[in-house]
Amino acid sequence: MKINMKSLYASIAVAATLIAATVATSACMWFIYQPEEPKSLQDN
Amino acid sequence: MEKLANKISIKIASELSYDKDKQEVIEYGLIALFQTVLMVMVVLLLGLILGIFVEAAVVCFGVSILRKYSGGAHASSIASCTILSTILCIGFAFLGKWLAGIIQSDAILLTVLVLTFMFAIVIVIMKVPVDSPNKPIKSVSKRRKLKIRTLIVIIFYLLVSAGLFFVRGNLDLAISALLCLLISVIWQMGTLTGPGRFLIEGSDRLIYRIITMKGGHNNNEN
Repeated sequence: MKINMKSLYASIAVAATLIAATVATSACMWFIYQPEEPKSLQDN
Repeated sequence: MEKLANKISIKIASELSYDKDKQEVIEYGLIALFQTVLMVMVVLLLGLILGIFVEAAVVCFGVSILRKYSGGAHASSIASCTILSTILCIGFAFLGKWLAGIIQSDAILLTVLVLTFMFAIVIVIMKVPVDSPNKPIKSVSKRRKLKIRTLIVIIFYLLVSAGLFFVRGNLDLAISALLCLLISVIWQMGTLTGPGRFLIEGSDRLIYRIITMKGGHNNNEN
């Protein structure tokens, strides 16, 4: 079965965006490394 | 790991014609996913091998769920975070198991439980949330929400601890799980204080020196 790469990329993008949004509503990431938060997710 | 997340996000952004903002969000989400999966797998696997699976799981999830809302000191790289978190989770799991073997008195156990949650509530009121330069929390309403959510998690942990205390009987596992949960709360709340922050930052610097001596590198330098 041939994998539709566009659908795969879109699925990864949706999952990663959901996780990023979850982290954005938290104080920090679950473990003790915190990369720089993207500007579009920062609260001003 | 950050490099991998960066490469995947750039590939996805180019294939789906996303702009820079969307690519950065995907990269950030992927780093969070990779870090969480790696940490949970390493801690649980080591816990399984060392015969402290339940204790390691309690510490790993106990600290990380609380940390999500309360914030705290941070390591400078994923490598340093992985090493430090693994040492702490496994060390605390062993400590909980060992303490379960030596604490025989219900009064001592109950006193430790009460003091732990009193300490936690004081820290939540005084310090939470503790943000970091990489993720500043400026909004007053968000700070209030995080404080309330941390308090909800603390109350949930208190109920779980009370449940474990009352069902413990002769179950060593219940007592060690209870002690591991209390250690998780003390540690996570401790990292929100000055000495806790100093301890994490000092350990992070030490691990960074060891990593760079062995020819590794800091993710922040790339």
